Formats: sequence, structure tokens, C-alpha cells
Amino acid sequence: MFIKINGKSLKISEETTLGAFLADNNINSRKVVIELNRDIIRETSLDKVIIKENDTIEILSLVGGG
Amino acid sequence: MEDTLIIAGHKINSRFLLGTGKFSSNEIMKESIKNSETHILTVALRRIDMDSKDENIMDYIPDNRIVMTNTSGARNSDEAIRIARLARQLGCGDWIKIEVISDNKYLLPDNAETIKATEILAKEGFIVMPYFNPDLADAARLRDAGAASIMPLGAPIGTNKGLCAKEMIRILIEEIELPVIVDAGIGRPSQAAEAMELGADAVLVNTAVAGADNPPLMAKAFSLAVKAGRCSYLSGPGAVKETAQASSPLTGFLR
Amino acid sequence: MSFYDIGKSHAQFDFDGFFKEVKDKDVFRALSKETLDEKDFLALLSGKAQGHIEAMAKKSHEVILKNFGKVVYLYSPLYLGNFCDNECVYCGFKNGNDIARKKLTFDELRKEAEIIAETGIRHILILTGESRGETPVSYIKDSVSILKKYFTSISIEVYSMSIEEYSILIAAGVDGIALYQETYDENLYKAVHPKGPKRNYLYRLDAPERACAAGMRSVSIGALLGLSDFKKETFFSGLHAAYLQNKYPGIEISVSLPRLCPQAGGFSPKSKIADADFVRMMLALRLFLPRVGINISTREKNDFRKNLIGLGVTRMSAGSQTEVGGYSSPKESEGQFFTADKSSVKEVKEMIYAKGYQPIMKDWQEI
Repeated sequence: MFIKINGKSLKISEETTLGAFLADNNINSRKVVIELNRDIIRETSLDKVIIKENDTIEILSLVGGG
Repeated sequence: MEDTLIIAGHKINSRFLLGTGKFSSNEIMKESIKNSETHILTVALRRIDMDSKDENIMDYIPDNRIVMTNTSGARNSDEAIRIARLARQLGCGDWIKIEVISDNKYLLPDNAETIKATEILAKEGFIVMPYFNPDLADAARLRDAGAASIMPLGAPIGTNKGLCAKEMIRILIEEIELPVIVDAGIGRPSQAAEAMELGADAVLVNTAVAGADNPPLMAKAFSLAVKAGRCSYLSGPGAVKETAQASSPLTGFLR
Repeated sequence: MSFYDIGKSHAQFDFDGFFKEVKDKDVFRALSKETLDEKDFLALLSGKAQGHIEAMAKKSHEVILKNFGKVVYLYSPLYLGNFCDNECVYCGFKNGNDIARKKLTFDELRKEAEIIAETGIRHILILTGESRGETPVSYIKDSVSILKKYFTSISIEVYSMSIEEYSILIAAGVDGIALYQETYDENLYKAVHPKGPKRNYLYRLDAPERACAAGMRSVSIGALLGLSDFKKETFFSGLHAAYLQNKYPGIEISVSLPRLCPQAGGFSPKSKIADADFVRMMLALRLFLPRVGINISTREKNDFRKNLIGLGVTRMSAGSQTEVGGYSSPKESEGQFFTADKSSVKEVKEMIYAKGYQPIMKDWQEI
């Protein structure tokens, strides 16, 4: 199935939770904030939320800024 | 002499706020932060690059500093509000710098959208620090909307042109009871000192430090300049003496 | 909050001590600043500033040119009636004075208006004593309806009113109010207003603000200089004006500097104000409040008024008759005060032109 991550289409093979997806991609969930279809997902819920077909996910972190 | 900047009830130990963008490396940024003695740092929120995961900026920021996320990238109030809520979720606390820019040519802020975002975020408990184009009526609106300070630009962002808006900022300092922090446009420590001498409560600088040949040294220069300007303001500079007047044409009738 | 709280906050301030301590450098500092704070204002009011009067005058001249240009606004006063329930010790119209009492009939009012309008004056200031029985709000309102045909701007200098009453008069065509506190010293106020409704200090003090709240276009305040230390009175007049300017930025605030002069009843001023002191008060006020209007009436002599043009004054009365019905039949009753400048409107205009300024007879008209 296809999902959209940070504006790019991505094919993932199987149904997975957000938490597992982050772990698979070596993303430290404590240093990012996740938006799933415009809703902010709390860190404690990451393992409960299952990614579905056509989901739009934003993964954001802090960078330098003025 | 006790002279502490207080924003939203928080004692702020330095009147020099530093932006963390555009540094050539995180190590240089870290060294610059140290030299700046700053208490409030600004950061931005961005999509992570899935392919090359950068080091995390937070690893280079000392623990005892206030990290204030800006809403850069927001083109309207809704986007600014969205970024603010995301930043809070990241555990950055409640400090948010509202920056709404819909003008890609000069990168000037959109005051109307900034006021809208300020009102909503202040109600949600954020400590809102709006960056805006210095306008007295809008400053009053920001104050009424619940801003914790106001951050007028000195000159268009990144231009290093200094206090182009000096007259307007002077009026804001006189009329608005909130802390006034000059943000954007300050290119040299002398300009930061000038803003502080004028009576600004603090200045926020990024480009001028990050873009210097030696950013840590420039951070130190700014830190000193801000302190010098503040001392000058507090000490009440003497007046330039009037030149001697031999004749009295305007008040001669009183003789 | 009312201006009363600001006045109260200065109750413990040692004015005399401060005035005594002012140094030349304090005056220089005040003169070099773009925006003066209260301490700067006080420094310029102090006797020390007299030595720098020319520098003050030069700066005031720059300030007034920048803010007002080379113009002087003219108006004439029109007394509707001199019935009064008050006993203000300094006033010719006080209740206990044995003078002919009168109020204009509407026919007489038209006659007065015609004569004034013929001089070219379009801004009129109507006055009454404080007699809600003889000259009630309804009478003033009806008078305004008549005067609207002759004048484009009508101001009132009458008794203190409620917001509702001011609103009624604004709806009828009044756009300005002059209401003088006389003195900002509450104890002295009680002493010089022994009887009558005006004795209520707070009600009078808040009246200009009620006029602002009602939506008056211009509001003029001031103290009667000569009742007490004129420096303090000018200071509080300035503070009061600043308070109103800040709170009601859309309203044009003016300060009058009436110097106490002889009138029927023979009250003599407690503190005599020399011309030089008077000019210093005006200049200090001009520098403290660059945008405020400053009004000098015909209480002052023609020559003296001429010298003040370009130094701070923005408005002058002209051709003033301070008796009720004085324009159509001079000397019918006693005037409220002695007018020192007896020049006609034409003469005042010529005097202003001679100074290189333009007399403005009509500043604006509501459309």
C-alpha cells in the first residue's frame, strides 16, 4: 500500500503501527513530532496507531532557526 | 542595581536572544551560544529528511536555556497555529515566536495574520512572542490579544541594515508596556547597542552572528554590545549642550 | 481608572523641593529629548529653566511648525446666559455678585450670531453659568440648533454634564467642549468653590473624560493660573491632557492657559504670574505635549498675544465680548472677566498675518 510521508509517496509492504515504522527507519520517536492526516499523534499513542492506505504522515523535528 | 528582564513572569538572565539558524556547523553554533550568554534561543520546526538523518540540534543546546520555536514557514495564522501546537508536542514548552510571512520578495511579516495567531495561541496558554512590522495600532492589538512581548523588526529580515524602523520602534517602546524585543535586521553589535540605548528591552539576532567569519567571537561582541547599550539607557545619557546664544529674537519681548 | 488616581499618585511628591533642585543639565537634557517624561516637564517648568527661555522658545518654534504649521485658529465666545448657582470666589458671574442676570432669547441669540458670523468667524464657543434651572441642557441644545446655521463648529463651555447629556448635545451639533478644572489642588478647589454644584471636585475632574467617552471631537482643559503655584497647576494640566490623549487618541486635546485677571467681584490672584513665567509655562507645555492644542484668550493683551504666535499657541479667541448679549448691545451686563485684547476680529487677523501666519476661521465642517 501507498502512504505519503513528508510530501513523498512511499510504498510499504504490510500493515504496521506508527511506532514500528519509526523504529524500522531509525527515527528516535522522542526527537520528532508526528502528524497523521493533520492530527498530532502523542508519543504514547504511537504504538497503537496503525498506518492505513493513503495516510498522510508528517514527521518533523527541530532545526536551527532565527 | 537590579535590572532583570521579565517576560510572562519569567526572569530572563540575558537581553540578547540568539537564533540558531544558518550556522555552518552545530559545533560552531554551540560555541556561539556559550559566548552569547543567551537565555532564550530560537529554533524552527522542519520535516526530517528520511534519507539522511541529521544530528539533533537539541543535543547542542545547553539544558538551562529557554528554547522558543518559531513558526517560520507559516504563511497564515492557521499554519502558524499548527506549527505552534506541533512544537509544544515535541516538548519545547510554551514559548512560541510567531512569524507569519506571506511575502516572498522582502520576507516581511503579515501583521493581520500574526495578530490572529497570537490571540488563539495565547488562549491556549502559549507564551506568545510575535514578530511583526512595527505599527502602533497593531502593537496594541497584539498586546490586547495576549502577547507576552512584542518583537518589531529593525529592518527586513537578513538584511543586516540595522534600525531602519527606529522611529516606529521608539514609539512602541514609549507606548506599549510589554517588553519590546527588536528582532531581525540588526547586522552589527553597534546597531544592537543603538537599539538598547533607545530603550528596547532585548534584541534577537541570528544572521549577523551565524554569518560572521568568526561566529563565536561575534556572539561575544553582541553580548557585550547589548549590555553596553542597556547600561547606557539606564544611566541616562547627558544632553548635547546648546550652543551659546548671543541674541534672543524669540523671547526678546520679555526683556 | 480616572485621572483622579494619577493626581493622587503625586500627592506625596515634593514639588517645591524638586523645583529647587533642578540643575542646568536637567534643563539641557529635557531640551535634547524628543519625548519628555514628567521629570523633564517639571525641569522646564522650574525657575531654573528661565535662564534657558530662548532655547526653549527655539525648540518650541520647531515643534509647533512641524506639528501645526504657520496657522492660528480663531474663535469667538458667545455668552448665552450668566445665571449661576455657584460661588466661585474668582468669578464675575458668581451667584452672590449683584449683577444684572440675563439669558438670551432665541431672537437675541440669532442677532448675536449674525454679528459674529459677519466677522468671518465660523468657530463659536458658547458659554453659560451653571444654572440648570435657567439654562438647562434643553436650552443649550435649542441654541445649538439655531447656531448651526451660522457656524461650522460649536464648542461649549458650560457646567459639567453626564455622558448622556454630552451625547444629546453632540447629536444636536456640538463638537467641542472647554471645561477647566480651575485648580488641581483638591483642598484649594473646595476653598475657592464654597457653594454650588461645582463644588464636587471629582465630578468636574472627570467631566472632560465623560465628554471624550461621549465622542466629543475636541476637548479643552486647563487650570486658572493664579489660584495657586502656577508651575504645579501647569504640570497637572499637562498630565491631564496627556492622560486624555493616550486614552482617547482620536480626540483633539487642548490646554488653555487662562491667567487670572480682574473681574466684577474684585478677586485678586494669590500668586502673580509675570509674563516671563507665563511664557515658560506655555513653552514647557508645548515641549511636553507636541501635539496638544494651546489656547490663549483675550485675557491677554494684543501685543503679548502677538509675541506668542509661533511659540506655542494654536488657538486664539478674537473680538471677544464676555457679557451676555455683548455683541449686539455692548455693556448691557457685566462681563465674566476683563478682556485685555479689545481688538476686533479683523484686527486680530491682521496681527496674525503681520506675523507671517495665517488666521484660520474655519478649520473643519462635519459632512
